[in-house]
Amino acid sequence: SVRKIVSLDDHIALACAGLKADARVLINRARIECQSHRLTVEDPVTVEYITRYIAGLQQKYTQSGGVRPFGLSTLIIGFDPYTGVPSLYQTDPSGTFSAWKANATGRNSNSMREFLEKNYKETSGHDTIKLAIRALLEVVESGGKNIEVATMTKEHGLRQLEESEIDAIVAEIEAEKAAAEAAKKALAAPKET
Amino acid sequence: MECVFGFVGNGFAVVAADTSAVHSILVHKSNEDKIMVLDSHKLIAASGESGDRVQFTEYIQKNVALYQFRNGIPLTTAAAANFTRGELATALRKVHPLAILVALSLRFCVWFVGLLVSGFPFHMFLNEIPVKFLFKSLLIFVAAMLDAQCTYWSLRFLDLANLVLKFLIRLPMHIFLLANPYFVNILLAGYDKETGPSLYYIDYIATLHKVDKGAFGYGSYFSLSMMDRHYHSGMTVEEAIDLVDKCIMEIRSRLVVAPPNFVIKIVDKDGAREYAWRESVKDAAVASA
Repeated sequence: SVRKIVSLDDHIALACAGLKADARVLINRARIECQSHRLTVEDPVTVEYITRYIAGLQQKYTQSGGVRPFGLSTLIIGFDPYTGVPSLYQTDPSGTFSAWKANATGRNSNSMREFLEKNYKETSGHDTIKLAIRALLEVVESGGKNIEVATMTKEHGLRQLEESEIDAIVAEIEAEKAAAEAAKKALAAPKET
Repeated sequence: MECVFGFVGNGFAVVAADTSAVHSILVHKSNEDKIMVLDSHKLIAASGESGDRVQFTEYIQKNVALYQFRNGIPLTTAAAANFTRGELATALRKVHPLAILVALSLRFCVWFVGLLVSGFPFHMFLNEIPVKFLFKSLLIFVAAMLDAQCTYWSLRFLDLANLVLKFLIRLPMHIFLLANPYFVNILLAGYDKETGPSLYYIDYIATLHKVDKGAFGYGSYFSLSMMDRHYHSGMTVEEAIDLVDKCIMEIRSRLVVAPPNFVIKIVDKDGAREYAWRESVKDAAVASA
């Protein structure tokens, strides 16, 4: 299956929605910039820097003749190399970028964003993954085959979850939903009689 | 003089390098690490011009990392060695375009001035037609000769300078006139899961050899001899470190400007890491007043 989540450096990862061919070009340039930054200033890039670079690149192609904009928006995650603070940024074809606590992009991103606005809590580890998958299940057919999940930790970098792991979490979520449904029914039934 | 040497053992490769940073008669520091960790399972031990050494090895390291991100798998040791050699080879013959422009425009100016001077209508001052014609043709001939001479001598000068330097200077430094090589000698040691440990000898002139044992610098006279005597394939880590120590002893006792300290790094299936330092001169702390 096509990988939509790629790593740009040891501590930065990118997920994109849109034209995959444009994504390849942008990701290649970003990877080169990550290494070039390391070579010239002997420091890894910050998430903000590489986001600004990618957004700048996307903007450049909206203001020249004979070119078309990059048809994709990206979500960029990573850890600041020194403070260790995780960040999430989003860019779009116009070249604007902003920092987020939680976001979605691509088709049906509005409904996913609404869901996240309602249910976002600063969690860690397994709970965060479950929240992400719950948001995705709003708009996508359930199943490990249709969902790609990757987590990034400071110690181990980017890790793509296995299909079996995703299936397990999906099953967990389904069970919780069923239990909630059952509880609701139990509450409603006595009222009817 | 910078000493770097290394060899391949049983499932590992070991490299040792001196740790002195020297500028003419001054020792800047005696704990300069000249063995860079290229990636998880590769080591680059480099000797030579220190600016070039740092610049070139860092450049190779970042490009190897870029390859890994682009392709999802790390480079093999052989691939990394060939890439390094390729970069050295390119820099060797690449002439700065501005230099060509300057050389060409200089030649053009000389030719133009020559033509102007030689094409001056001296025949204007003659009144007899046949003499005038002869003189004019003579002038044209002189202009052509001048142009030819300019071309000839500019080429001859380059050739001559080339020839002179080739015999006056031991190393082929006449290449200076043509391009700007990196003055770095490299021993690239790596471990691949499929092919095991390997060592590559990469000269500053872009020589590439896959070797079992290699060395650079004046220390190579001593370390290569020791390795020729004591090396056998499939040495254990203990035997290998013993041989490294023997080589260091020889260098220390027999080389007139022997570097005092060495660093030893090893690469095996568990990765590339520092093994030990061999210090005979420590940077002492400043005594308080």
